[in-house]
Amino acid sequence: MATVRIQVDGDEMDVSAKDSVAVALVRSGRWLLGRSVKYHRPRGPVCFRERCEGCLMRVDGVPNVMTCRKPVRAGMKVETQNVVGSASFDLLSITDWAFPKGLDHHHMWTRFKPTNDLMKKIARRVAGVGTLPETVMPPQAVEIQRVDVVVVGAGYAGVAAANEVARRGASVLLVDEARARGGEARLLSAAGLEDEDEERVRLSPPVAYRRKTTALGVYRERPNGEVLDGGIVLVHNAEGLCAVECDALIVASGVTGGAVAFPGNDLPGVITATGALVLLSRGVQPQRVGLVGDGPLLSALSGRLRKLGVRCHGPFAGTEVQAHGKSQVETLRAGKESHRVDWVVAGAPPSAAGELAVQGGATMTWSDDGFFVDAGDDGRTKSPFIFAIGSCTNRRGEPALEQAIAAARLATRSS
Amino acid sequence: MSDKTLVCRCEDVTLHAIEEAVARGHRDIESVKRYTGFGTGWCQGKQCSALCAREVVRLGGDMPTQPVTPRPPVHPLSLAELATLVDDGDPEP
Amino acid sequence: MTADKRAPITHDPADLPSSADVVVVGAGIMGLATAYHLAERWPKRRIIVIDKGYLCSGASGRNGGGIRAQWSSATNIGLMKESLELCADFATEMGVNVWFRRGGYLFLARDEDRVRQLQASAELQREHGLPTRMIDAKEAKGLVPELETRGLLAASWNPDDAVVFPWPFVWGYAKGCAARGVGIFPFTDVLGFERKGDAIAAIRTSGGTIRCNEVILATGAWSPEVAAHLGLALPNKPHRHEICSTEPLKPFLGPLVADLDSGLYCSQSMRGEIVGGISNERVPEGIDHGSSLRFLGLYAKAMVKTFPRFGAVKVLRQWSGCYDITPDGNPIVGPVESVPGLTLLCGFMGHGFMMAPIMGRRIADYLAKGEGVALIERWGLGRYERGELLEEAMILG
Repeated sequence: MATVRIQVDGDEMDVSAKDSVAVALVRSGRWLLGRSVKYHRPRGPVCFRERCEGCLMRVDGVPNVMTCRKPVRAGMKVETQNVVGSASFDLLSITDWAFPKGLDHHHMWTRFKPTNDLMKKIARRVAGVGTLPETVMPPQAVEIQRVDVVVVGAGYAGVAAANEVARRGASVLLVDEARARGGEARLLSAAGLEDEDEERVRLSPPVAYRRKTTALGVYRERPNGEVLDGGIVLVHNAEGLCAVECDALIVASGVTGGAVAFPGNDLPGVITATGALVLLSRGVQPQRVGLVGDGPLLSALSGRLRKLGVRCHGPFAGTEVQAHGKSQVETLRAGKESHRVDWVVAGAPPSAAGELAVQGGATMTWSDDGFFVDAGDDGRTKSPFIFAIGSCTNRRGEPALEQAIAAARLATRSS
Repeated sequence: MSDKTLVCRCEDVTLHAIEEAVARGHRDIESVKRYTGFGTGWCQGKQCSALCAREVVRLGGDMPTQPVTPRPPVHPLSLAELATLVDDGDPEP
Repeated sequence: MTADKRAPITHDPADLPSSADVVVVGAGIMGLATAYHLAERWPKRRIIVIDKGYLCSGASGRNGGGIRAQWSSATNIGLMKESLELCADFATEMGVNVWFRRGGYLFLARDEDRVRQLQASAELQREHGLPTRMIDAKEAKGLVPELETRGLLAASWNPDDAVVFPWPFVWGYAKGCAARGVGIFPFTDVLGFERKGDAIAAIRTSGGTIRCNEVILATGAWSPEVAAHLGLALPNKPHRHEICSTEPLKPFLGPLVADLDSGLYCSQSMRGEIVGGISNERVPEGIDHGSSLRFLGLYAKAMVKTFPRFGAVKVLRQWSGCYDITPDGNPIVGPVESVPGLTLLCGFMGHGFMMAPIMGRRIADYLAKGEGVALIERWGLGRYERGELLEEAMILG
């Protein structure tokens, strides 16, 4: 297997050429990648899908790079940020020890002006994560595109919608931030999708598809200020930014995990269920895992781990546990028992990754401890420009494919 | 390392901070967000929005109707990549 | 400090009283500062503040936190000089940190007209005791090493200008109001007014009707909308202004840097984020809190030109707030002949936040003691009919 040599905090390291920086570090046994902003608590990758702050490091002179999806490159320079000392011994973590219940920064030292002034000076000194980039990045060209429909999310619902749009003779761009189509289904499956499921993610030409591409924003005006009936979706990948003008946007972005509340839940090694599934798909395997929370992803994960011969403890409720460790999680305490673990996987109630839909004018509803895009069984939302389908909507559980087809029909009506 | 429960890792907001906020009269999630800072950091609420909403409700705050307003861009985007979006001398539509 | 440090600073909208002596409409910094100072001068009167949203939902929660005394009119210079000192003392006075930092403001000049304008303003400011002076491109670069100085002729520099974190001002004034017996009722929308002749007899709100005779409108961009309920056609208009924030970086930028020609401004917040905005005329009419690609494009282009090293810095979020624009860039303050009992406190363009600490005092002194009539007359609504338009050359954003 091909390896490349990178530099991490001054030390050289040979890593698999296929790994992202964070996965490479975790594979080598290093979970501690940085320190938190206020208390300088140890932090590491959690979600492995660029939806959190855990994997931020300075890469090739650029601060705050999300290393969970940053491919390694020969000669790459990776550095820990935001520490006085080193990642494992950060002097500023004294703040965490000094304020066990937390530091009320709103009201601290407001009694006298001289101490207040001193406090502000110190606070400014320790503020911020990462320093200004070393190199000058000149203005980059933006690609401009125009399609009838943009579909965000290439899970079963998104693929079905994109195929239906194409079938009806309209142009469609399908984007997904993952490496391959299939969304949640692919993550859940052990050794890739079954043949019949591969069928469900096959694209009918002429669907234009961009993988490893993130949809960043939805706007209803052109850059020259002209208001549109449709809108512009900003998408981004390693090649740069693309502004895609379209008549309709179908959001099929699925659900996200999010955090679970228990003491020590921010320790490196405490990860989400999707994070765990990503690691397993990269061949990184633990020996012992503690499971906290619930949800379908956690159950599926637990089944897979047990099949792989991984020792699993739990699942425990968040209210029952505490995670302990120095620089990464070492034990999960549940009641009187203390379990040694390599990972703690925390499964939160699902909540939609619906930011894009709401930006475009859709609304959400709060149900079952999560937010979901308010959508009809035909994918209609409050915004005539936005359709939402699948598990990101408040109709999850209902047949997503029918909703996807209906949304595609409505989205192409005006084309 | 002390036994804090973090509800927002980006801004180091503890569960205790949410309790404080609600006790001080910040009962809707937008007010709690502003007082505690949850959702204003790097991930802009992706990890913490639903959890903080749950905790606010559990602590006697208001039931959320909408999540805290999501702002573009969904992921951080460099100024250089945005710098050619608008043409100089762009005619008024 | 009150006995119960954790006492809620706002009331349940369901507990809205049925009468009050004074109702301040708008619980932004302007309304709260006014109520706070009025309560001290009128301890026996029942004062309440209502707002249609949550605290910090309006412009007070959306601005970049700039506080400056560099203005082109003597009135603004004098007021802001005082307001700066009030802001400097706010944390210890009100018991809440606002992260006031005197990093200074640097106004850039790229052509001779602007140099002349800044020079004249700087001179006027010095007459008021400010240390403002014109500096050359080299000295500007010394203050901000990341600044591109090609094309820069000069800059106006006041090291005593400041930036703050805006939200705690709102909480601080709210806490102070609560301690002085002022009730603050969020989520309470104005639906209309009841009149007795021309005078105000009551306000009808989404939470019930409040019998009152004195109303202060501190509703910023919403002022024309609310005033319309009184048959009053105000000349100010809301205008969306966008702003954005970058990833938090270790502090390196001292001053707030501004360019009045493009409206570009940026400063580094206490968390290390670069917060800034730029002018954009192509915005929807009326109250709008959306975000646009145009703004991002204009801002990014100007930022990369002005600070080439910021190219790789990442934008984390963009949002907007509404300026309260008047025909002459000056506020609309004071009583209104056609509506006895009404006091206007609006039209502060994009600098209402920084003016609120001093204006809250001034308006309270005017209402309670009849002091400071000159300012009230200068900024009165009647000036438009009389054709006595004022000026201000240093409006930013």
